[in-house]
Amino acid sequence: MTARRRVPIARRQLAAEPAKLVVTLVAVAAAVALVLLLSGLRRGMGEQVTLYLDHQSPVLVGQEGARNFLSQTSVLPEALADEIERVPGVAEATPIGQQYAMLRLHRRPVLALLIGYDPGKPGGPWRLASGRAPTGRGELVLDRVLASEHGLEVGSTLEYRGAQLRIVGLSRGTSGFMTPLAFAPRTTVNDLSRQPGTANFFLVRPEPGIGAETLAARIDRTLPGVTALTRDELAANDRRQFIDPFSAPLFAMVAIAFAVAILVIGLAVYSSTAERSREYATLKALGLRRIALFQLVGVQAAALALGGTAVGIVLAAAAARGVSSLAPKYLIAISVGSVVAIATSALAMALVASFVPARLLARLDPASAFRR
Amino acid sequence: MTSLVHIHDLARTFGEGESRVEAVRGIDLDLASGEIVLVMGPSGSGKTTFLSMLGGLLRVSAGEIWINGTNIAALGERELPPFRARTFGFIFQDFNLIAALSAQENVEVALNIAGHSGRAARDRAVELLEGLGVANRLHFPIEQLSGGEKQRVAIARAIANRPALILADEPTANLDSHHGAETMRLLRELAKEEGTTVVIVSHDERLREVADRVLWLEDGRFKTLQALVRDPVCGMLIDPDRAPASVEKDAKTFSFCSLGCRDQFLAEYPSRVY
Amino acid sequence: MSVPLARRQLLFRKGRALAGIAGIAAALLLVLALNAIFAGINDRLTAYIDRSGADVIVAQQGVDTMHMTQSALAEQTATAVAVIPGVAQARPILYVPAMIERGEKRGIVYLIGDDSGGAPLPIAAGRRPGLGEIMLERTLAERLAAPIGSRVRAFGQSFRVSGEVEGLASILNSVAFVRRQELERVLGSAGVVSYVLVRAQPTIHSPDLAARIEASVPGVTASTREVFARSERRVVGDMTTDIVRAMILVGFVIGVAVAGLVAYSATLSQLRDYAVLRALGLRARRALTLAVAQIGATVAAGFVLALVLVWTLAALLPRLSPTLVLAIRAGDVATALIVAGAVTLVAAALPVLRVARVDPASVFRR
Repeated sequence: MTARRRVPIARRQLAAEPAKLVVTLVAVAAAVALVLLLSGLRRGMGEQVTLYLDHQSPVLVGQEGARNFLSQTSVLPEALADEIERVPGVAEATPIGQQYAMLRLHRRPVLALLIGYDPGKPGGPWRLASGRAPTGRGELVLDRVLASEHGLEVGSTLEYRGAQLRIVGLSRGTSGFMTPLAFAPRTTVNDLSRQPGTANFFLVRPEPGIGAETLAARIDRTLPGVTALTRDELAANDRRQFIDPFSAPLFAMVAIAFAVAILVIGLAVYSSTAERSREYATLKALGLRRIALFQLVGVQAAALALGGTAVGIVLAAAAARGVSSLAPKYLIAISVGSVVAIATSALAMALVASFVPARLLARLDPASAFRR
Repeated sequence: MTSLVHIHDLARTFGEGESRVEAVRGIDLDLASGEIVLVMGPSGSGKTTFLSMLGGLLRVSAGEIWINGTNIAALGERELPPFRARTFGFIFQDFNLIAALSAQENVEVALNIAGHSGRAARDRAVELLEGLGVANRLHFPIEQLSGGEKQRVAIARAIANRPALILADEPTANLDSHHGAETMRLLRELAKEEGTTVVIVSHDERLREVADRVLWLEDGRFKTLQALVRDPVCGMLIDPDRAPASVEKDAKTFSFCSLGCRDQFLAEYPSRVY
Repeated sequence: MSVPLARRQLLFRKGRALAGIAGIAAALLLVLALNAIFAGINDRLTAYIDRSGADVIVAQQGVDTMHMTQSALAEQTATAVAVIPGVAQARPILYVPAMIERGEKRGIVYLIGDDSGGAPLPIAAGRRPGLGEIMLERTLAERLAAPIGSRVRAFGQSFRVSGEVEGLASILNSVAFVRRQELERVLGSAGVVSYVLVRAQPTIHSPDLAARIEASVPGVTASTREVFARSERRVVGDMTTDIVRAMILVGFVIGVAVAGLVAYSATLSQLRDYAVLRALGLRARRALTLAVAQIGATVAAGFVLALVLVWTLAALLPRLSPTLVLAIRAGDVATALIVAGAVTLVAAALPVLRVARVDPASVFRR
């Protein structure tokens, strides 16, 4: 038995004013896209922040009390490497330096994350776009995207903390909105910090067969004055440290965007209802039940909400892709979870937006169909 | 003819205290199936109020309205809409068609509301519109129809659910004389051939020609005016109160336009049956 | 015209007018709120420097920022600077990012090693830190549940909370103070300082003193407080420019959509009114002005409401999240005003076009 068709009043009414429909959908889509892009940007920042760590060994050792790779100070004597290597299960311990580097490019401060490593040992750039890795004092490998943004190339020099650093290579896959990477020999970095013979962290490669957590715990127990952590734990802490501060402002913007979407849908449905009050009175006179009337309004609101949300999701995905090709330092990582959340809340949007128009309809007097 | 509508002591007041208005006071009325009743009266006399109450669109202040054995004045808010859909057909002065729907869909939607959908509803809508001569406008948006075409769509909508009662508010007010006459003819057909009771509220004197009864509503009360009757010999419409001649035969009263027709009638009666 | 036509028409449909005003306000609020959040961060960014009493800040060569910045000077630099004529006081500080822990709770701060304990910065409670003690920013102390007298850990060491300061934390970072020599020991960085804070004698202008210091002491950059603060603000400013621009675009699009919706339904329902007015003799230009005036009034009201809302947010948000401070700048308000103006121009196009085509003779048509 085929479905028995009833005249699709709501659909007809929406389609009767195409310009209005389009404008409403665009506004809702813009609000939805905004929410997805902002939350995607925050998530992307979190992923970029752990970019360096993601390519390093599974265990790291830092100064006692260290919980993050970034955002805090960890200083240890470089000779500690030997002691770490003596812990059973450790295959290799490599000292590295890390610091936020506020570079001055074209008289403006530009932030980068500078890694000091020993040439030939782990901890350096994992992929080069051009040039070579640094070997001698004062040589620098800079993120390719950062370099091109500021007109730098292999052979350029830049001044940092009073020293002239020469770019010998550009790295690939090291871009970041707040933390693009740069690499230099550890001795160079130590000189600039006036801390010779030190390391900020040690990269620890476990011997085959031993798990990262086990080894970290063992190093912690064995060596005083240090904290050993798994790379994953450090990365998770860094990510949280970076994106948590943005939760409150993000929440505020999301709330405003939602308010916008609800208002726009409510405005569209309300004005349609108010302008057609004579028609709705007639339908009531013809015997259309209250529930059916509310449904009419609800269906229109839901169509606008879901339609706008769908367009917004597509818009956000396209914008994210556009941004990553035009401005690769931004990573907008829209999660499936956020898409699902927004799609679900579209229905809530519709519900809230229908409230006032539904009340208008409820109070509509069917006898007003007779009035001139 | 059986009494379809029985109205007893119907009243409606608006406002309180100093601004209290009795729009309808203690009306008693019986309407038969197939009867056409025209309600006339000065503006603001309560005609629309009466029509609204009769159609279950306005709550009564007092009294009963029995239609087909149901007192609609006692029906609850939930029961009224389906009752209206089944029982009444409404014709509005401004047509009140749904702008976003086509002509066919405007008729179909009335069927949907009464519980019919799918092919059956669509076919009936098409059938009605074809019968009214707007077959070539089925899928046109309402804006593109002329006044006369809109009225026919409105009538099709009104009769789609085969209502027992049609309530028409100034059905000819927005039409030219050609379409006005058309509408009158249609209403008369409905009453006489389908047995539909038609209640018309209007200022249009021409409607007296089709009405079986004319009621004058003034100060909230009815006064019956005589409906026009036909001269049985020449067929002319006459106001029986002012007929030049009239004859009573077999308990029926015949009115004539002139003495000549009366004489002819007397000469031929009872061999010709009128 | 003695009858305020535009106002009557606008307010005839109160619901629509209100919803339109609210929608435009929300769109403009997006722009205002975002700018205010970033401006708030910026203000707090330079709060320490602004209140440190320093006229000139001496840093490692090439350095004129503090946040996310490394600077290392030999300890003797402070003494070298101190003897320069015009220098009233030269105070070396250490400035390092650190993690403060209390039980399971943690917070990132810039830990300032300063033997004066942060003077002349005003204290909110308690006293400046002695050896083994630390002074926390109030919002961090609350978050860590670390009142005065309790203990916190940094670099594996335990410190007693001696006092609190206020108004130095943003959503991105906080500050805390310990004795410089103690921090040196903990870091194992004897003989190194981060910055030297210089107070100038009243007889010399700061820019001149900065130049003099740079000329006298090798390997340093000396910046006046204004220059230093400006450089700090530029970091956040540069990083957030793209986001702000994107938000302005979104706000504009949404604003146009809302104003357009209102204009559309208002005009539609008033076309007959316009025809009647034209038939009564109203000039075409006047009719257009009426239509545009309604849109303009709606957008203007939306703008005012947006300002009220952002002020309300600025008052309420810090109660929910103490470090989320909003700063409403005149420049940002001007930006929102420009967006509002642009919205009015675009959204008014539609009613202008339709009203211009109204035929007064249509009053007699059905």
